[in-house]
Amino acid sequence: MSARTIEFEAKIKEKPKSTSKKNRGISWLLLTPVLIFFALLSILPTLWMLGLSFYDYTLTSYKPPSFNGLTNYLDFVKNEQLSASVSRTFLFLIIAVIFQTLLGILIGVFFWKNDKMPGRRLALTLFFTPMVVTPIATALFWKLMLDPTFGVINHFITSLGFERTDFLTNSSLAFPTLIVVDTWMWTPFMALMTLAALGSVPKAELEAASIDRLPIHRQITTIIWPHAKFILMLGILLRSIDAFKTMDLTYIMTNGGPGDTTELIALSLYRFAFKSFKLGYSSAVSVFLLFIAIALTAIYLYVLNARKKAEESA
Amino acid sequence: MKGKTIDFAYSRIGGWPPSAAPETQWADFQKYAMDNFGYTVNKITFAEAPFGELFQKVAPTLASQSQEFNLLIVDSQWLGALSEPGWIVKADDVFAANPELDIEPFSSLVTNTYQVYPDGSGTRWGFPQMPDTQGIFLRKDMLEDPKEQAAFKQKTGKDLPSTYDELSNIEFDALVEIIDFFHRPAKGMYGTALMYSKEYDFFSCAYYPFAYSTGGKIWDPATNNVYGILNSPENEKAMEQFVGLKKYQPANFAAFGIGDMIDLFVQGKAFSAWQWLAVGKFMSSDKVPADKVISIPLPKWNGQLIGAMGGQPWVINAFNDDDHMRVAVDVLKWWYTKETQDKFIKENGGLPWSAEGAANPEYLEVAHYVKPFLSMLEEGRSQDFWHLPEYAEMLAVQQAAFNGYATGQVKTAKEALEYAAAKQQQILFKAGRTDTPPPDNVDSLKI
Amino acid sequence: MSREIVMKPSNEKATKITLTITCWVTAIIFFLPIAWIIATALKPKNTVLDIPPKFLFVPTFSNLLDALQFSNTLAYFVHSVIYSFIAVFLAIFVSFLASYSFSRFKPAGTDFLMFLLLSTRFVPAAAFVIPFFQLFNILQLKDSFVGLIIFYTMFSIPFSVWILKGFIDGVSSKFDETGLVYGASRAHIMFKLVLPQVRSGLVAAFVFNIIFVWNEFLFNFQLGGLKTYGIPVGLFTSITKGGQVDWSFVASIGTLYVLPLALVIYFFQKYLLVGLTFGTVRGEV
Repeated sequence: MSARTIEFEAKIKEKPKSTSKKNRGISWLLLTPVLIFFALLSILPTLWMLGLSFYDYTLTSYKPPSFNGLTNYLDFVKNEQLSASVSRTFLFLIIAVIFQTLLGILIGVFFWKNDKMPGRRLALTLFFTPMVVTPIATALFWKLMLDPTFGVINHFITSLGFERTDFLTNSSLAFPTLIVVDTWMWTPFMALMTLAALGSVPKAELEAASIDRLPIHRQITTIIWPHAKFILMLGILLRSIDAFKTMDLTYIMTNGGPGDTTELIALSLYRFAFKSFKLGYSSAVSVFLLFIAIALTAIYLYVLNARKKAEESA
Repeated sequence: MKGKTIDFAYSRIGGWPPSAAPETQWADFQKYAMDNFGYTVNKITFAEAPFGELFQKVAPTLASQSQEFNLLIVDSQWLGALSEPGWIVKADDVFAANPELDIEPFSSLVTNTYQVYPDGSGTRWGFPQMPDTQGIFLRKDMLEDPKEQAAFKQKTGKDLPSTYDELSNIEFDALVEIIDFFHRPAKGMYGTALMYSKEYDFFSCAYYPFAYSTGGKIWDPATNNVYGILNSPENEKAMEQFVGLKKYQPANFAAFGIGDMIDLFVQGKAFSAWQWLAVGKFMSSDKVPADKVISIPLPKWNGQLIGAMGGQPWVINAFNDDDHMRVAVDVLKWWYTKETQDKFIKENGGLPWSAEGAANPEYLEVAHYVKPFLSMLEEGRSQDFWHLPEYAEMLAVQQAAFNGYATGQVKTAKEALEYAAAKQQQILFKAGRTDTPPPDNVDSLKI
Repeated sequence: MSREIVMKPSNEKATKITLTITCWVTAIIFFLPIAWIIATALKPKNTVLDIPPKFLFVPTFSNLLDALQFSNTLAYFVHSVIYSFIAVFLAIFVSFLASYSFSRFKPAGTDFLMFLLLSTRFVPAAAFVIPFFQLFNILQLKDSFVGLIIFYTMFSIPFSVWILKGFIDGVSSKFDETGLVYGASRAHIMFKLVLPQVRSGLVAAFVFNIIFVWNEFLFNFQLGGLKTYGIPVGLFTSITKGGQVDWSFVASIGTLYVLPLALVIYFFQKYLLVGLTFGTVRGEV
């Protein structure tokens, strides 16, 4: 090794602590833009919302906002209609995300195994369009396609000899139909996440495994899953949070109906905030939803970190 | 104002030509302002949203005291929500300063619907822009077809009415008989179409005539009590009758709104449609041309008929500066001139609401639906529902419950009305509008 | 060392063909509803609601032209492009700075801050709109591109930070150290040494965020006005013409509006797929 190299390596190994002050300055400087955005456009409105949740404040009422403590929260909890809405949303979330994940993984694996496929780029682009087209347009057209009188789906159903079906105003079919449409829309996302997750598995390990003739299920458990799970679980978390907030689809396709079989909590929140302008009450509901989302994420991160730590120590 | 140049903006209902008419005809106002008052108005700008979303666009703007819109076209229900916080100008004050604007209406329906809040007080806030009442559109060609007439006579022993005079006083049961006769789902023709949608006020407004005409009331304007009034036996029977008509409609009737009525009727899939008459212009197409369509007022229930009111008033933004306030009043003056109203009614889908306009024979000839519209505008023929600021919340709970009954989620009309009445009583009680509390079980009620 | 081929060549080919067919069939099935929308846009207007539905027809571009000429459509398109692209670019720039900091310096509270950033996506938009409206009112940012861009930048920061940090983590810090030793400025290190290596992450963050901003409706509706409305708002406020849904219009706008995004996804697909690996791999996906 030349003297120059030794000197070079020594400098690198040093990592002098005395420059860490300078680094700290730079590190915070680099963070400043994001922090400003965050403080002004995220923290501020959240605190505002938190504050509003303790007031009785209707934008359109002649009465000025008045402090009413936990009344909004208690009203929310007591309201059976809303509680049903929350459990319904959870049900929607769980069923939809499970379907989307399973289907997404399946399709993702197909595409992953087939990386030399002719026209792969075009196929994937077509496959991704459901989540890219403006939701207003897709929701409206699904409503039309499912229409008993004018819809193309019923046209096929009746020409195959089955009975004309009403999907969106039938109390037992509306909710499943919503899940099907949501699945159509977001399975591509989960497939995308799967592709990325599988892509994050080191090729070297996979090759070694196939040389060793490791059976496929062992490959999955010992190589693929440990690497892929991070991205996949992140995808599931993101999708879960978004599914919880679903509103466009149900608003346009069924408006929460028939009755309230597809009334998801985000839609109820929208109604309070925008139809009745009960800002205090809707803020309380939002704070509640925020806590649920934070809890879900905390659980996810805890599980992920716990596994990570377990592996690092193993 | 002489010599000044000014901008002007208004808010309106999206995709609704009568709301767009002021913009369409704006060049006339620019000329009017220059000729009469000597100032220049720039091209008008506007904000629009569909019915259900317009209030949410307009309310925060007014709450922030902004001049984003100088004039607003709003729904009649919003008069309370807009006037109580002091966001709009009291029309009475404008009338006092500009008596020529205080035009004699065709009937007290106009005043009570488009102008008055609180209901029954006589204080006026709105200026009528586009009136609307309910009616029924029918396939004239099918009624006039001699083969159909013979078949009907054979089936029922009665003559099939086919002229306006014969149909305009028809009884409900007789009308249903005709609907039943033309109900041929196997051939792709449904007997009728009505609105049962949960959205906005569609179900409620379609249902109200059934209730009103058989003696039902929806609330007591004097005491603001709902419970015991809305959930009455008359309203129950009326709702059962209303939802009972589903047997003449496609399976997804529970989602029908204005647009669905139009689609079904103009695609030739429905013999009749119970529709707002202002939409008359659109109730024909190349498949069902206008000469095959006839429109009539709603039927009578044992000689009684009270329909629901639709339509929109203008209101003036209370936060306009002096210049814009002045221009807003001038716009109204221009809007109510005979030339403007002529153009509005003859070319842009407008309808008359004043005594003078209603008496104008030219307007009757503009379209076939003007006649039934005016007959529904007569004294006592229609009424509007609450203008209270809490209307949005009250509407939401009742729409959910009623729609639930239409879809079978709520088993009986009684339960649906009970739920709506109890929740509405609670809403009004909490808002301090009534001293009567809701029933004790209100919180445990579910659809 | 060459891999032993486990399967016989002909079996492998059969599998490949089956897979290809499966993939294509899946792609087409998912695309079908969109194809129906596009077909509706190209159908003569008065045949849109025909039953039985028209599958064979002479396509016409008149609906697309009508949609483009309708009212403010073109202006709304331009608005969408302006606020979407600028906001997402700005977000990526700002996020790059922050991610670099998180990755290299690990300032106190990094994990907490990253978590907090993610948490901004948790609450339904409806909850925030009025507070934002009131905030924008005070700051006089209503119906202004500045206001909307600022908003959408914040909207796009969390995801960008998460992706970029992963990628920057994957770039060895030896690059930075070498650069420092040779007297390079921090800026040079960041932009000339590290940035080029996280290209996939940049593209992924861009594509992902632009999809959300491009299609966002509620905030654009409430915070914007005629000068700043994008296509989603333009579409929503013009769905009905005279009370009935104008299907040709909706289909036309839907078709035209998805084209830019579809093109981006087609041409930048490689980066998008790699980019979503959050930096755990830099090869083919």
